Amino acid sequence: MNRPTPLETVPDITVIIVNYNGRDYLPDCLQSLAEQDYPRERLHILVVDNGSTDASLGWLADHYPQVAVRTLERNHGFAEANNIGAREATTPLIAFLNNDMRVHAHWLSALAAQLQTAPDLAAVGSTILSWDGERIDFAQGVMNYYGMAYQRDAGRPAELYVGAAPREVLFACGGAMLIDRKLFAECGGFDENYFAYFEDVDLGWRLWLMGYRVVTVPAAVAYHRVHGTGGRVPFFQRLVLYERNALRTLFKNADEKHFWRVFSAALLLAFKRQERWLKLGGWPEAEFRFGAAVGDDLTLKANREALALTAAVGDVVDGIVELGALRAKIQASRRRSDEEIFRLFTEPLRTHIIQHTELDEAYAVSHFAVSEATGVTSLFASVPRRILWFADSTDAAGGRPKQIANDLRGLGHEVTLVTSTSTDVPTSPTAEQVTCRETEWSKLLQNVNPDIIGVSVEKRVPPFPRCYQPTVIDWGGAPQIGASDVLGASLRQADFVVFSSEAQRIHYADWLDRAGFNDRNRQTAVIGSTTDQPVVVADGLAQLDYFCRFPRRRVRSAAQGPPLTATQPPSAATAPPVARKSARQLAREAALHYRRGGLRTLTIETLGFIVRQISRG
Amino acid sequence: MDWPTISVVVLNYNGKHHLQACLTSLLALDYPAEQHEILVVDNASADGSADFVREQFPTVRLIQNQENIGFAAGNNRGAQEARGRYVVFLNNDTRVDSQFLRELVKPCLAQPDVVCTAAKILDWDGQRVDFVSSAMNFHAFAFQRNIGDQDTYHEQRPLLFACGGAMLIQRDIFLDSGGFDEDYFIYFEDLDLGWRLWLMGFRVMFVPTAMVYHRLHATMNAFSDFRKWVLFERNALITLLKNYGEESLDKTLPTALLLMFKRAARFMRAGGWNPQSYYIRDHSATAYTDSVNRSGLAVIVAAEEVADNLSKVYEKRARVQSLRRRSDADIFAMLGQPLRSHTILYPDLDEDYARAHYAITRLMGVTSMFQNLPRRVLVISSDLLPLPGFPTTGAGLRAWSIGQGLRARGHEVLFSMPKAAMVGRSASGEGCIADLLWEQGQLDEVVARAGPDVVVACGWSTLAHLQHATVPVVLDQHGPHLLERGFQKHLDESTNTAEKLRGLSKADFFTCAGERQRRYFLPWLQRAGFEDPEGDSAVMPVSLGGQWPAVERRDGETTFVYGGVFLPWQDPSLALTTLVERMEALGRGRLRIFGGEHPFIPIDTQSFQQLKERLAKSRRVEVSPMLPREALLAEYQKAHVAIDLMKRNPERELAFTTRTVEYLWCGLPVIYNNYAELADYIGPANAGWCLDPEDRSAMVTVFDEILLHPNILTERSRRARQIAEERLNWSESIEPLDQFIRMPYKRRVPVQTQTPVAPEPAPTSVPRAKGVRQLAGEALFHYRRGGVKTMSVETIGFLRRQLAQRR
Repeated sequence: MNRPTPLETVPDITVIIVNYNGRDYLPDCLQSLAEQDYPRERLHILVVDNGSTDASLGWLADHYPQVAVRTLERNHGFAEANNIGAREATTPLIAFLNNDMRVHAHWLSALAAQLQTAPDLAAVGSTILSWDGERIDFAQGVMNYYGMAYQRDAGRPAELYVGAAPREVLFACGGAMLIDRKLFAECGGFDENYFAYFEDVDLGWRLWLMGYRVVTVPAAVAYHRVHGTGGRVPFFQRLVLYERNALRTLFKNADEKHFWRVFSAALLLAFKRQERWLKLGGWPEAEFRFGAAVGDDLTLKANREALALTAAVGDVVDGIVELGALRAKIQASRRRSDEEIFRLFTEPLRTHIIQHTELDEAYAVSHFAVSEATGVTSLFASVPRRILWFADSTDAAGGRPKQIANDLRGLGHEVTLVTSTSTDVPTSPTAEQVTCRETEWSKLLQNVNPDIIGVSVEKRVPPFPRCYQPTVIDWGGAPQIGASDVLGASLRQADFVVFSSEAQRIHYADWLDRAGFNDRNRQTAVIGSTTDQPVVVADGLAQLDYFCRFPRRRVRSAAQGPPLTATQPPSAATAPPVARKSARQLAREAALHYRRGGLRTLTIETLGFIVRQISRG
Repeated sequence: MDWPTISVVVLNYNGKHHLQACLTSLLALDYPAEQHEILVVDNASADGSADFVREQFPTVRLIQNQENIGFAAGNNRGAQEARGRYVVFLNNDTRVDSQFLRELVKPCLAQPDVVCTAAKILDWDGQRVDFVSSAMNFHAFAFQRNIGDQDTYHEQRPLLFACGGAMLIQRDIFLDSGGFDEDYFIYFEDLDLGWRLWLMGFRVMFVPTAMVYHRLHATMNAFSDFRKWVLFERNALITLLKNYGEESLDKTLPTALLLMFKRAARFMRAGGWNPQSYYIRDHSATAYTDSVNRSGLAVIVAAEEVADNLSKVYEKRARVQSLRRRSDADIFAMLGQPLRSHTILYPDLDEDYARAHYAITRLMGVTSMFQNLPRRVLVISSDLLPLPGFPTTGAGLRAWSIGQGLRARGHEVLFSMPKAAMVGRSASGEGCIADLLWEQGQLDEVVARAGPDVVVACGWSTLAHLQHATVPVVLDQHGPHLLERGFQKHLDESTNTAEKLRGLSKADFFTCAGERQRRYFLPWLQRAGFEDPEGDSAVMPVSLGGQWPAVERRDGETTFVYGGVFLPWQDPSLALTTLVERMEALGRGRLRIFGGEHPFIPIDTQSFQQLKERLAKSRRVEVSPMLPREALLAEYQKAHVAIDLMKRNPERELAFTTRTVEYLWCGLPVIYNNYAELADYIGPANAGWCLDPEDRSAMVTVFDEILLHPNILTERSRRARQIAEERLNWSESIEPLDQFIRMPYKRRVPVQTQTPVAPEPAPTSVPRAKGVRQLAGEALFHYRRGGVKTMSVETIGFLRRQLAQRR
């Protein structure tokens, strides 16, 4: 910069650092603040010490005597300590910074510059990377409809965000953000009842509904140690905080218009999560069935994670009067409807996964079923989905995967096409396309965490990772005699099937039945190849789009066994046995096919039947 | 009469030992043989039931299931097999009256929209009630009401649902409506069916003349059979999901789910679970598992099962809602007690649960859904109620009037009064119901028996006896009472204070008779744990209502009246003596005194006795004992003016005197104390005279004026009646209580005032010693209350207190 920025446009900022036994972290954190390119005389530091019992205070006095320190007698928690710091501060702006972070020299200037770009900007957030700066730690905060927040793209390459334009987000990470001090106080600051976790989510949603905006600034980079301050607390106690705080966030902020539906769904799923924890602990569910043998022991050892939900919701229930008053106050300050905010949830229908077991799959099924039955799914239909579409190559089936990906993008969705390579050198990933070894797919899936998974299946079943997302199988190839087992194996793991022609859909009718697809209209679509039936394309695409917006998870048959992979040749033994049909039944079926699709369908079905008979020997 | 065809379906599962009695009674039914059939549906019993029926009752149709398919499916099967136009479902452990079938079907023949009827179910001997009424709360938990009552239920009336153990229903409608929901397996399927029938535009009727006798089994211990809890919880939630209309479901569903969590926690805590270790500052938890009772987990199993099958439940919901011909608003009145909180007989946990229940239902808008429905209110009086033939006391009249005021607003009111008040008296009718007479230590049971939506307790000394309440409790205070106890020499000040705080702390809402009393009580309420004493309290001036006494022409000699119980904090001696002097001097006028000792509480009234004897020497004075209310009112109506002047003391300053209101009500102008709150009513309205009770010359002026110019009373009489009608009338005064009762809540923080909040200053004056006469009276009182035992307990307590005072 040739001219120094006029001082009057550079506001005073207090950086508030809450410290709890962070003696080992403070040197890096404070050093990085000392190296800020923000005018020294405008930058103030306030450490709020949450009753540390390590050498933090002594070290601070020795090394940073100029830093203001507010000492608390005991651990007041993250939310309250930050509020205390904010009340203590007198500068127009305040920044919150975690003690286990260090920041880029440009961090504060970037945040401050961004905050001043628009009057309705209430807060700006940082792009938080891993300590070495290579991976994303917290670049975009997202939330599902029951208040569980996530760090989108955590673990993915830093390039995805660094250098991008500022992005509107539901909330800025409370560990590295800048906010107007008066506004922070006015809107009530962090909710101190949270103690820790999700208080920043609550603040962000509140700011949006009050009519303000929040953005994250890619140029404001912070680096975060991967560790666990929380690791010192038993997990079930943290779980109480997550569950309780998510429910509080929802209770306080959700718009009256849809509050009821969303809250009911959230509570039903809380019960379901509780049962999932119980099952993880291996509890005797069958003993709860009516008529089961009555044991003498009326108590049971249950794992505390399960009971944590009872404690969490119990806490909400016992504080319901205050919570109701808080809700009334927040809703009275509403200047923006939730419909306008939903897109910022970004992952409203994300399934809350805990341990990556088959129990989570069962949870995912309930998650989508409850959301749909209660009418919650439809609230979020307009939010674009993130779709990860796997294919052998972009050229597969005449470029069909690429075509579908493009079509879905045209409908507003974010689609990343993943293709396989056998080389060890991956091409540099873009948002639209990633090429990597199939063995990496599982990890990629976890990091990207899409809303919907798509798989183009051609000659073999691709290596499915365990997933909880609604999954689309695209059966792009032409009808192939003998390929049915490949399709059958794929179908078991799918929730929606795309065929390339109506003839194909009819051809595989039996396979669909056997895999449990009983609602053909909502579970399948036909998208013709560009050269083949272009007329049908629009319809099929609309149906696929509908599935993406109203996603479902089917109950997958328990007898399906482990996911099949390409290395595991499909065998006749795994296919369910088909009972021999009588002549009378065959005739009746033929009549049915004729009525359904005329002579053509009848021929296809008959041929298919004969081929199947022959292949079974 | 053409009797329709009926099929009686008896569902049986391992009930061979019951069948003999049941089927024998069915074969003896007085009903045309060709018009009815009897079916036994056997749910794959293992005790040889099927063979027994085949051999012993060859005329009975036997339908055998391959497995136990449960209550709902078993009865559905029976209905499908049945050939009658109507089908009756009957439990196997019953026997029926010979007229049972005729009576049960009659209402259906008379009224086309009655398609389902409920029998009266009594115990095996026909002595006590098993089923005569059905009700549920908003989250679809059915309450068994009136169980164990004497059978006094002779009225045919609509019911929400018929007990599935003895009911009749039109077969085609049963089948069209979907019958019993087979997913329930057992429990609440009858409730679900009843609700659905109402929703479809039909009515369900209780038929008291159709009698069934039921073997009563040991009641279920909620705590031990956690599997039943899975079914209760699950079926209630499904019922709610199926039957509420869209708008109602929005509010009731999340509320019900929050309460399910609370119920799970309640069960777990009943089993010793402590949630405290789950919160982050607690470091006591080391193990990663925790012991909890299974009943708590049963709630989770139930909710989870509904969540897993939610799509199916919503499909059923869509079907049920498509049958709707009657709006929710029109069905709500049938629910019975929609706001009632659920209990499991762990009083302290139930109370905590109830607090959450009322807070959540109010906050979530469920309370207001039902605010127009009448509530069932139990009014607990601390004193004798003014029933026909009974003397009137101020406190009793206050309680009675509150009840009448609530009735005028449409509520169902039950009364309870002290058992001691009834000693030596006999009367019948409400308020005397033996089950609802209370005595120390048994107030909780009285409340449980009455099963009210709201309790209105009169007087904190009454409420102090209540241990736990799972319903909202209103405390109505008729006077300050602590001061009265001081005059009464009842216990010492710090004991009284502690008891007062205990009593007040039990209340969720507080009402009192005047603004001044309220000001006096606000700090007390605060000390008792009220967070918002002003928000949680209201004034209801002492009022009367109902049948207004006719205002007659009052002829004859000018008659003054003085009425009421003699109480030690009341000293009318100067006024009455002066009046008698003036009457004697002028040779005009009469004074009639109606009063005496309190009907059952021993209170020292010796000074009163002396006054009475002194006054009675004048021939212009006539002293009558306490009269029953109607007799007293008749006397008041014949009089001309009331004299109600008493020496000023702190109690009198606060009092909103009932007798005064009664005078006004009878059109008597009142000569009243200028320092009390009622003077603000009487003075400006010219409904009497307000005087300094120690200003003898002012009294003389007024007395002389009245005695010499009795015609000045006419206008003041009219004014007296007017302020009573306009300002001391229950139809207006009851408003704040009515509002609370419609939108009830339990106050938030329970404050256990075991010890007074602040140590009491040493009493400035030691209570005066009690006379021998009073002590004897008290001993007798305690003897009447609870026999020798209570008397000795109280005596020992008294002696101990005396000893402690000496030291």
